[in-house]
Amino acid sequence: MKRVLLILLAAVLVASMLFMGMGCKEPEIVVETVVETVTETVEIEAPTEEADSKIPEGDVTLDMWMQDSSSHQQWLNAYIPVFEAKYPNITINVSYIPYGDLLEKLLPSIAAGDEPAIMHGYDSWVTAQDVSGIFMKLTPDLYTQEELREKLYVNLALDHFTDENGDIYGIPAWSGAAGGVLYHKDVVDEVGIDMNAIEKWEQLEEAGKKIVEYYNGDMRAFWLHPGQLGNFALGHIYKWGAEDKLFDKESGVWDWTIPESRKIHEIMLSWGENGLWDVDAGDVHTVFPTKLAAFELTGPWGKGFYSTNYPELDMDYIKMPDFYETDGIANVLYHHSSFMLSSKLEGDEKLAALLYVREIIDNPSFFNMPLEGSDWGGAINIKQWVDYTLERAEAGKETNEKVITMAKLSEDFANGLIDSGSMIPRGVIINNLVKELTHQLMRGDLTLDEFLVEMTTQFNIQEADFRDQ
Amino acid sequence: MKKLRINSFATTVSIVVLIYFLIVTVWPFVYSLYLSFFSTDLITKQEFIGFKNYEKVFTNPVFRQIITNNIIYLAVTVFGAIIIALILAYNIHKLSGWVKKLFLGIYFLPTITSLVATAAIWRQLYFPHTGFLAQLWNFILPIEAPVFLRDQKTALFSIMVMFVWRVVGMKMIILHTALDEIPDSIIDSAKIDGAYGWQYITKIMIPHIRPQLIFLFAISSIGAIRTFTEVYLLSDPVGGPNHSTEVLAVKYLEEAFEALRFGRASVYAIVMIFLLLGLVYIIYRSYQEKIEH
Repeated sequence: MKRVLLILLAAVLVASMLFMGMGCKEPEIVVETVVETVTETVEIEAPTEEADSKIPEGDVTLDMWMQDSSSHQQWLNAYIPVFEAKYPNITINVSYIPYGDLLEKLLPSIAAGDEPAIMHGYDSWVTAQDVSGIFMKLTPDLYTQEELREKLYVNLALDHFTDENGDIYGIPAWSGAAGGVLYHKDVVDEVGIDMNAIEKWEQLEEAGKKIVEYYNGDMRAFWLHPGQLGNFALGHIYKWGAEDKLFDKESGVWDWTIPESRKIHEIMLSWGENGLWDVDAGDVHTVFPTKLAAFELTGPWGKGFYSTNYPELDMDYIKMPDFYETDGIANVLYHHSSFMLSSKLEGDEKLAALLYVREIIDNPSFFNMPLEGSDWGGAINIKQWVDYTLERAEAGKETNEKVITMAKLSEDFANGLIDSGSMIPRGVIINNLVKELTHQLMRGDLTLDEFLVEMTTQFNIQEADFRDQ
Repeated sequence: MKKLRINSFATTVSIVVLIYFLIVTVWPFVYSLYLSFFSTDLITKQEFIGFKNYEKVFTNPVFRQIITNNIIYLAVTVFGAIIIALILAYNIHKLSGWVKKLFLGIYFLPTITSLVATAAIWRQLYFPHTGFLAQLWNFILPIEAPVFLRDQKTALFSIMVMFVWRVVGMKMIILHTALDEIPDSIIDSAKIDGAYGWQYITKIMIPHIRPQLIFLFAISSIGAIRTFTEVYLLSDPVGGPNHSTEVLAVKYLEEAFEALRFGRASVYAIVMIFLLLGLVYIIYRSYQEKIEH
């Protein structure tokens, strides 16, 4: 009897493993197709004499850590073969790491001395750090300070990688923090909303009310990704010209009790009262796919994320409408996907790593790679790419609407960036302060007055703490 | 000659274990203590600041909340899990045959399930409005279901429920084995003397399984002070709404790997170590009292 039971148990285990294997979906990354497309559009030039001196002579293998988002993977899976084809003696071994693990792994690995040659991370991770002790100095080996600042769109992001001498230690290449509105096409079509006509937040709110009314409250209007929630009130206050009243950069003192702060939070409270937003509707990655909300405020990476994980969703994306009672938007809590190099590289390895970064900056067509098969995820910070794409679009040579939209988004994003001057890391502001306290406000755990006082208190505690480090 | 060989082997093994203990346990403690007097990110700076980190930690209004959370977690999960395990063991002990084995297996299943997978499932169960528990609550009770993990009043309790559910099986197995070891002669004598129900439990059963209870109390308490995984996986944000689920280990992670304040993080580690040492001392004294008795 025992033997029979054991055999049965073994059979069940094997069968379940087989079924699990059958049930797993292979990721649909069609590298071959993308590479074919790339060879049509990319002119692979032979290295020039001048460039020869910056090309390593021997065989080099570089390790790289990259965030494992679908858009990053698809871009890199296409970029690496083309780079290696151009420089056959250089091999890139990339490891994809989830965002949270990458954050916790990157700087401790540098402290331990076992970081990879090429690192992907975010400029907001090093705002309170002395970057000169962390990463390789890129200037003047890569370019001079002036050249690099000219080649990149957003110098504010470069400032996070700049030491007191003006030397630069990282390349902020693109930003997924450029906010927009991801929406369910079938839902807006059914309700009769023209999303392309929405240019102001007042219009988006009206559209949201229509949706809530149409579905009798079963579907909310908004879901805010934490990054967008973090920026919403701050961005409005800055756009309304009250930044100096909100935060004194010199003394590092915050005051969230100002009238402009009260006003924007009253607007957000009205969303709750009108059923437009429920902070407890669910999880950041389940509310939108399960249609508990019609709109998600997120970066364009959100579309790439959902289209990969939920391909059945019929959705589209518009750029963030102009803020309430103003023209344009403001991005105060931006951050950029950045490339940094290990300070321990020498000789051929150093040349190869610098070459890798130089190609990203100087060969703008490399950024076009994954767009044929996927949705890209950001505002590109490389000026040459934006100018190159807009020129091609104007000349009729670039017809891919996604590419053109991204170039236009990049320009808008760059113009709307504001440096708050705060030493509090972006992640702490978003998760530990704004999201945490705003949810308490929306849930009724705090009155508006209590909320504004608590925001002021907590922001000042954190600011003092990080300035004191 | 034979005695010498055994002693050499024992000595060698002991030295190896001692070296391992020094490297893996003692050295990190000493280094943490050292770092706690510095302002450092371990990469670009290391500045001696004396007791300033301790001042920052002990005057932080959240610190009291953190210690309170750890103590509540210890009290509820340790006593809760042991009491539930004892009740289950006592009742299953009365069963026999395949029914007994079936129940032992069912209650032990959560223990062998991956903690990450368990946490993912319980997150789904705790989903506000649409989660199974919220729907069940709304179906049975006239009041609106709480938002469990997102409400500061219920977040820690929700995590403790999952934890107790997961660990009660292992404790039940240990206590069940202990109950099996109570001599039949003792049980029979108790019955003859009229000791039933509560009298039997308090006068006969618990004294006989006291060593196992102390053992479970010891390891559970140490685990409760060090708790991290379930709190980290279920809390949203990390540390919970209004720090309601923030515990020492989670705070250590935030300070070390998010804020890169390794000196201040070390203070939280030192506090945890001293709490554990205090706990171990109390448990050791309990064992000493038993021996003396």
